[in-house]
Amino acid sequence: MDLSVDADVSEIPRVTDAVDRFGEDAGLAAGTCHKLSIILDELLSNAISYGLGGNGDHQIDIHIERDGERLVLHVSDDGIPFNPFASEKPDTSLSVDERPIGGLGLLLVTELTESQTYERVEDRNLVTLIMHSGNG
Amino acid sequence: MNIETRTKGEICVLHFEGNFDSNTASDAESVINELIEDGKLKIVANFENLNFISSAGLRVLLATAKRLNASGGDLRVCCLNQTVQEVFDISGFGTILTVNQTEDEAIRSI
Repeated sequence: MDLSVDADVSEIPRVTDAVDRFGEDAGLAAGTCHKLSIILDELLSNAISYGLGGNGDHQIDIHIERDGERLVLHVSDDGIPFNPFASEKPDTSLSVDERPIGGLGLLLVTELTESQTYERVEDRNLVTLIMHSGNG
Repeated sequence: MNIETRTKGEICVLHFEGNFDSNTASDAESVINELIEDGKLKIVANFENLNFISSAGLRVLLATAKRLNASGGDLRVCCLNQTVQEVFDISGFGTILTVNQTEDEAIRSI
């Protein structure tokens, strides 16, 4: 699957639809498609908020392929250098009142995937993720 | 995402259908905030027809729980599918929020 979207959350439904179609073609369970959609929602909203400064003129490129039991995801943008995996993990043991709002997105990405890589390639941020194709 | 509101006495049951993500979270927050401003302080979120929730949705749930806690209300979440349950487990929301298996159980215990 290859898709380019504007750096705007209004593009999320287009991403989710494309993931569902890809999942159908690749024979993925619905749960796996939903996890892919969560991961992409987190990466896109993060890139839009930080690396791209909320500027909708930028494009984010998404590539997903199935390699046997693995799914390989590439997400890239031309924003300022921004490594999403460099931030601290939130404390998930705090109560409702103690818990700060936010910071959970990348924890979900990390926990739902097997490996996460960030690179700066030719003035672009490139995130590569590997996840199981069968954990529906 | 579609949210259908059903009122049972002083309890409001919200049926979520679709995807609770960064594109739909702000609309969901508006719906919930209107209910709270209207004095509806006992809210059950039924996720039976929800496909998935991302951190944007979790943020709305946490903000709602904080508001309801502060005003003597209560939030229950019920009927999680496997993906939503996994997100709750990873984020710790399964322990900080009260999760019920069924809507009846949520309504009885709120």
